[in-house]
Amino acid sequence: MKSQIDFLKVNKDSKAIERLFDHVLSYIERADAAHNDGKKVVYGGGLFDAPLLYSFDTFPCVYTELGRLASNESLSIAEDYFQVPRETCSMVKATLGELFRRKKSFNRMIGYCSFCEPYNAAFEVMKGEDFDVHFVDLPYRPDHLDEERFKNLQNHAQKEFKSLGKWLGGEIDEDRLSKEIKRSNEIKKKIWKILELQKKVPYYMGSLDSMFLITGGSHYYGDPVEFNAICDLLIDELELEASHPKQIKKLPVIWAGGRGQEFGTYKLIDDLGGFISGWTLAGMLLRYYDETLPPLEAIAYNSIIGMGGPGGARDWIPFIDQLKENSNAKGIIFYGYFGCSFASVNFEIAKNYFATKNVPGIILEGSFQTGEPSGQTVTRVKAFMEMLS
Amino acid sequence: MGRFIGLDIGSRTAKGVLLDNDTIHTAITDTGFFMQKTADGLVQTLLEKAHLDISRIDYIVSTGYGRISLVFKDIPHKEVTEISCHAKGAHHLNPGTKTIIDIGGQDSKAIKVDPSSGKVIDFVLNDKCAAGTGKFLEMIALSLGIKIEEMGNIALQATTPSHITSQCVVFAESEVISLKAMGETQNDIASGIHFAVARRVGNLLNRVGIESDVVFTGGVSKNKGMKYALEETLKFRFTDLKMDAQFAGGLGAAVFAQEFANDQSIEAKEVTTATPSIISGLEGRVKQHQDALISSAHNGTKVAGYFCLYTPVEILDASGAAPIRLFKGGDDAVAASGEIHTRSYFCQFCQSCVGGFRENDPLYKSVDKIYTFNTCDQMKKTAEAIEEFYNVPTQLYCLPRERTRETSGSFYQSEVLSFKKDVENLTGKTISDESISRQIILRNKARALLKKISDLRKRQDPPIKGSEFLELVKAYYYLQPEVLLPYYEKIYEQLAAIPDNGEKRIRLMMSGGIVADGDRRLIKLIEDEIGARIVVEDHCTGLRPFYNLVEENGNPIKSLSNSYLNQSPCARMKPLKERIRFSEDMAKEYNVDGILYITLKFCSCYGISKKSFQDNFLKMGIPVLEIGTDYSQSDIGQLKTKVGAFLEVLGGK
Repeated sequence: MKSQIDFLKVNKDSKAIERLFDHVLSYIERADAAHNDGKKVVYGGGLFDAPLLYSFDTFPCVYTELGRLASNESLSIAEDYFQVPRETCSMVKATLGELFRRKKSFNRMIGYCSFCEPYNAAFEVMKGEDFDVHFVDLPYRPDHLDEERFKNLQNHAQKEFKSLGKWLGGEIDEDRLSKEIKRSNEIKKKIWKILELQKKVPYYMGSLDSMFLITGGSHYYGDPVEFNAICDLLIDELELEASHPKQIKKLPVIWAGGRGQEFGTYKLIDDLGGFISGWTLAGMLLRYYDETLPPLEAIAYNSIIGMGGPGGARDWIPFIDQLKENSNAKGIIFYGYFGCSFASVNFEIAKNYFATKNVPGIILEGSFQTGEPSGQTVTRVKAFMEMLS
Repeated sequence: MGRFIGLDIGSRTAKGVLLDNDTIHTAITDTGFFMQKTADGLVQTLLEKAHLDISRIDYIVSTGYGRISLVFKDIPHKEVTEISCHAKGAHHLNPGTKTIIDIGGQDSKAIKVDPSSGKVIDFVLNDKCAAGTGKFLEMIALSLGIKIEEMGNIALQATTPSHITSQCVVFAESEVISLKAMGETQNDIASGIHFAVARRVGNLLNRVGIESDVVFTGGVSKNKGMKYALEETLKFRFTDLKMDAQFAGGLGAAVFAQEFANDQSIEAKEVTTATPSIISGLEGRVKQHQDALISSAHNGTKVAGYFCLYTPVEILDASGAAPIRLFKGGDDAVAASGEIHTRSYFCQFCQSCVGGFRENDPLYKSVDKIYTFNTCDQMKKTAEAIEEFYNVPTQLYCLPRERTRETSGSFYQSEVLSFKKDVENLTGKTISDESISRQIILRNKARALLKKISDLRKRQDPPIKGSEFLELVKAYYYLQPEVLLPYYEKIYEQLAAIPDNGEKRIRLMMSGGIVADGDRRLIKLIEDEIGARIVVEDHCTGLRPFYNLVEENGNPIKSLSNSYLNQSPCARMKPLKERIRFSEDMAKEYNVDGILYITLKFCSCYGISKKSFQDNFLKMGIPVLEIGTDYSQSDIGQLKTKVGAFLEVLGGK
């Protein structure tokens, strides 16, 4: 049975991208190796908690990345063993199945209370499988927040991260955390630079390559040194290419919503002459920490503010607007998994807003489709790209 | 000895079996539209085959989807669910049967059988989706351009079965079209489809556990490709039956007919209810109040809508606003209307909340502002959609999930305080601590009275039906306590005066997600048609929220925050095990015979955690029937079968 890894094997000319793929694809194996070597490894670290994890010398194994390993067997485990309803988001089912399959490996994990409802329910269920789950009870950032309430939310988030620190190993070493925040900002700066250079030579990197890069911006796939080196190498390559760019036209589009594991869709966009010139994902994962604040406060702030945390569509729209303006994007692809209620209303509201500004949008509802994208997805993406060109 | 007929009126074909002393006669026909005509035709065919006159028949039992409302003049007749009949039939043909897979036109079932008696021990049906049924195979055969009868044999000629990801008929059809376009052979695709169905049915089987002898019954059992796919996927071999397994249900019905004829003491119990007229009086009062809000006869009173039970309603009471819980549901047309902004994968309750505004529900249109404390994702997004698309001012407040964590209480309290300020802005009135305290006392009285009324349901013969209790609870969410209390007090007095006649009914607990105002389809089926009694509700529109009272002393904001955060929890709250423990306590307290665990489709909170709940109930020795449902009427036949079979299992304990 095919998994996403089978589908990923695409030749790349760029040494940096090849190294990026190696780094990404070896991620879970390296997490296992770290665990076997007696290092601390937890499922988590995909968001604002990564610097905190690194400050406790803990390897962050981001559970959403497990999806890439998942096959239909994982989905079957979720549906058969856990009896998760079939209509549940396939990404959550795949993660649940993978965690179960990996039960004999490390079993500590971090959940986030304000994110995805199915993940919350699924991780509660995993407690029954002897997983040690610590939930960070981040508040949801509602619309119409006044300053006082924002501060209350931030304070609560800060207490929650402190509690996470205790679960990770004890008192937080503020100096160490400051250093991690600084390193995080430096790496993010490099990724933003890569994304800017990419606009000059949009043919050089594939959409999936960009997605991998942005995703790693928070956790570096467990190895900050290697990830940093990959970023440097990629900057060198892009600068060289940008000095004598090829005349290949690409159609810029925005990717709004989840990263998705339906990698065939990214390839399809590339093959159709598209180029993802802006990612809402970047707004969340590549937001700089405010180094003038005490480190824990900076993390709490990012977890609440704008695209730094979960929130309503109204916070989302200005960021998409900005991405569109900066890259002259012609349209917006709203991508979410079928069954993801978290994103669906945001999509409706944002799509509605951009339609009034004559910016076309398409909502793609992915499923855990291994291998080639389905005929329906191909038709929809193709028709959308034809419409934009 | 005697002559007994079993009629299995399925969704596609109708089967009849006549037990004529030692001889078995069978008949089969398409079900057609008129079930009575089909049944009469089958009886006639059977009589002709046996050369008998109708007067020689001792008893008829009907089963299958068309079993309901059949009439046979002058012949004793009963209906039994096809689950019990398939078990009985398979047991009759092969006494060692322990597990049955039954795949019919409209549904598939996994049944666990007691080999000593042929009685059902446990069973699972597919949900209303057609995946894993004969209908699914039929639809795919159509896409492949082959006859359904040929499909199994075509599948057996496959070299490499195609991989079919989707289980949904609609998605699978488009997947088949993609596979055809990619050049995969008809044989391989047909085989892939059979294996996809086998995986789906395997899921059902795993839930009851597979034990040999395993037999395959139902119309699809004739499909050799399906038999092969199931055996390969599930790694066991079916035991062959002595006759065409398609007739197992009809044969079981005939065996039941024989048993019933020999035991005439088994009679259906008459369903009686003791509905005090005052309940309808309260319903009238709710309507009167709603009409006043709609017609603006409330003299400028602000109407404050809220969704979930973590909204401290005492603050709204104290402000002079009219609080109403927005929890109408049960109408699939309204839900479908709300789908425009929520997509198909919101639960139909949330869709109905949006749909109510879209369809200009007059009560919803009277709402000046919506307050919602953040419960599930769908609810908060529902609130955002209502504000965005229907311009109703909406404010969401945060609700910690980790309710036992030390920091959660103070954070929630800060949100409750912000909520109070917000309500003051809405009404233009300052809300004093004293007025909140007064409302706490009044609401507590209403809660305590509801609990006291519910306690009467612990009697052997409860004086109030579950559906009636839900109406009392509904009133709590529309009327303010000073209006409610006299009604509740009088209702309690009247109910307490009804003598307990000691008649034992099957006692059920309803557990799971919300049962909306208007969603009475299932409870009416259970109580009015089948005759069981819901004696306790472990959901947020039944008894569950009235277990805890709000602290009446001290700072009222602090009291409200503590009490609301620590109320009997929704499954959204953590830790889940405490929520499950609460269900356990309720089931014990009300001494229930069985539990109906009801989830609305796409409700993650109760859907994903259902196994944890159910495992715990089973550990307690209480049988559970899980029902995944929505507001459409199309699955009523299947629901009748599921609930009917569950009660047959409970009755046979």
